[in-house]
Amino acid sequence: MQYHGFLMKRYIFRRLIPYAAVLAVAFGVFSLISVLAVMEGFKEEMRGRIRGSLSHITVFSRFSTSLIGSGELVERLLELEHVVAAAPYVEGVAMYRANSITPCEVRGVDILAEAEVGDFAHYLLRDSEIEMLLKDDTAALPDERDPLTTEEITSIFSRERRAHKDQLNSVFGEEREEGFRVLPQPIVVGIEALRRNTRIGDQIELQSFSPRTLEARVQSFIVVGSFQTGVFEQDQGWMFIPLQAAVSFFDLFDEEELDDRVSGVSVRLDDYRNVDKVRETIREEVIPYLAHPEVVVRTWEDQRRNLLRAVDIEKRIISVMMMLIVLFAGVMIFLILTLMVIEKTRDLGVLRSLGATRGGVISLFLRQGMALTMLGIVLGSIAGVILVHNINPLHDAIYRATGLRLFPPDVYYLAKIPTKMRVSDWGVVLIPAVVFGFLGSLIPALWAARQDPIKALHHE
Amino acid sequence: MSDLQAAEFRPATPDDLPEDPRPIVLEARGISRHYQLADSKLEVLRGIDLVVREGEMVSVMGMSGVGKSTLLNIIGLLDTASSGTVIYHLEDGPVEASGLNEQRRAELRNNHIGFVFQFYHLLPDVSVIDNIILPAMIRRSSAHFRREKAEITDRARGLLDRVGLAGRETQSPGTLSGGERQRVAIARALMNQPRLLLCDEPTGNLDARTSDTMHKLFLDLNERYRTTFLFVTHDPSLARRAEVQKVMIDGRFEDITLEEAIDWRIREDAAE
Repeated sequence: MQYHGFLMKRYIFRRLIPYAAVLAVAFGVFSLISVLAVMEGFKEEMRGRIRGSLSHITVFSRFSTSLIGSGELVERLLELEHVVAAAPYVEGVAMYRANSITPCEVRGVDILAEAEVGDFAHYLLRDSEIEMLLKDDTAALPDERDPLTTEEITSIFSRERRAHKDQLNSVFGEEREEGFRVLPQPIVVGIEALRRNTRIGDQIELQSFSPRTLEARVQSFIVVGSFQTGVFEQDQGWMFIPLQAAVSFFDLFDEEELDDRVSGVSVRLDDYRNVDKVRETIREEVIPYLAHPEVVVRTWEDQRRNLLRAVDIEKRIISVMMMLIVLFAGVMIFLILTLMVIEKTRDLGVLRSLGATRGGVISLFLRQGMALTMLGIVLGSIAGVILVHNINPLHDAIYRATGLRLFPPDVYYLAKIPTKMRVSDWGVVLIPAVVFGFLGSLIPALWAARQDPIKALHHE
Repeated sequence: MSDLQAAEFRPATPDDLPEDPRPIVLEARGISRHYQLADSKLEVLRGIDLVVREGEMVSVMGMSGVGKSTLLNIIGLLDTASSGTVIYHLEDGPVEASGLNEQRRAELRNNHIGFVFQFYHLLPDVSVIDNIILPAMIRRSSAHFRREKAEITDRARGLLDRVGLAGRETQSPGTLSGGERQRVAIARALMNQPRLLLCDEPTGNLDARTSDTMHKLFLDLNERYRTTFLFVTHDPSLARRAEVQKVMIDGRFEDITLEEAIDWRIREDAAE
């Protein structure tokens, strides 16, 4: 009805106080949008980190390091639809001796195949990058960084490089009887290990037990390169060696089967969205036909379920906390409208005597509350989108002005604050804002409609 | 009159009351109103019968607390009678108020009843002209209103002129004197061309001189535009000017003249 809009203008938009409710809603929406966008960006980033070196799907033996027939398995997997790469790997725990004794996780990979199934090529570092990261603890790699090429990866593990490093640092060089020097196998250590107790070119000694024979194993390796996955534990405790070096280090050649035992096979898909389908196909159509079918299929999410859930829960908790601001805004709308009902009781009596219905009065106050809510939502959304799109320049400006880094790059190795706006996050923002705004308006509106017009007319 | 009789009541026709040819606007039959208190029943109205014809000016005089305002509220459909009926005779036939839902009552108030209150009750945030237009806004959608806006505004201007306040359209009610506010309130009450104007102590808050000009305005509206009035008042000078004069004592119309009532009241006051 015409009087609704007409009175709304005069009751709320020509006064100052109702704008406090608009501001409260706007602030709540703004905070929620920007926090959720940063959390989502961060979550996305963390998913990548949590996935780390894991490939989309891993097929591994039920018992440690005893998958026999990996060659056949790889061939069968590569025949499947959506599978673009598959590579065997060995993993085992060892102690390494550099200056001190430190536990580490040794990962034996087919270096070129590994670059295809996982992000190996992305987190291997070039010499110049290693130098930069070692010089400055707070330095971060640029976002748009090319992964290493096949040639670059091959050269890191190459014999020439080891020979060269060996000349530089030949204290532990092994001599064979014939005078023929066998070069130690190459090893790539995480950037954090380089920062603490190892250098490129160092020869380090790994000690472990063979899972097959249960005998102690010791072998020297030469540090030829480094990587950064972004997860501190991995960057400190993981080491990569070529698959064959791992087979020999862990003594995995099975004389009965005449085959190497490996830990599992990593699989990469054309699109991760096909993961459930492919996992089922592997379970039903590949594993039962293997000579040694004692294997398990896991997606990387299966393997990192707890960590992923932790990140999800973190985001959920923050959204709930932020929703309190929106709830507060709803309470403000409630208070402002309630005060208005008290102030305008006489007007309500007049309107009723002039022919306004109870429903009309409810609608009058609901519209006012929803108008305040909507205005707040629009302002808050605009402000939120602007902030999210300019968060990095803003962050830099704050850093320049105050010297304060709100988001230090060395903690997460991120040069920029990641943001991502998801449609479902908008739902998380807008639905509570509308619901709280509606409830905040409904109660005063119902109360206004309950006023007896005769008493209202005599209200002072 | 009991509830049962009220239900069987047949609306009066001009044949029943042949002495006056003017059509009936309002009939109230056997209106009673009581309030249930904790341990007793407070009877405010005890069987009021009233007929108002088109173009008539009816006054109900009585002292404070005799139930005048309650009667007016019941006739104005803001309150409901404990028993008895209120019937409005509209163009398309009689409508009995007790059988109506909230929606229809509001519609009747908007279209057929105009209220004038003792304390004017203009909306303070709204200009004079918009106060007058307000009743026209209440039952029109925004689109509907926009279509007829020019027409409605013209009519509001005409009404403002009729009550002698031409040119004061954009003023805020706060800047007007009491008498002027009451004129605006009368213009607002006339906006939707009601069948009946209900005035509750319309001059109760005005000084004697302003009251007098207001009385003249009522008479003028009544004579020139045949506006039908029902006043309740304790002001004898207003009551005296009405064509039909009722005296209300203790919830009933007493069969005495206004002059007798005034004498009686003067004696009562002297006794106190």
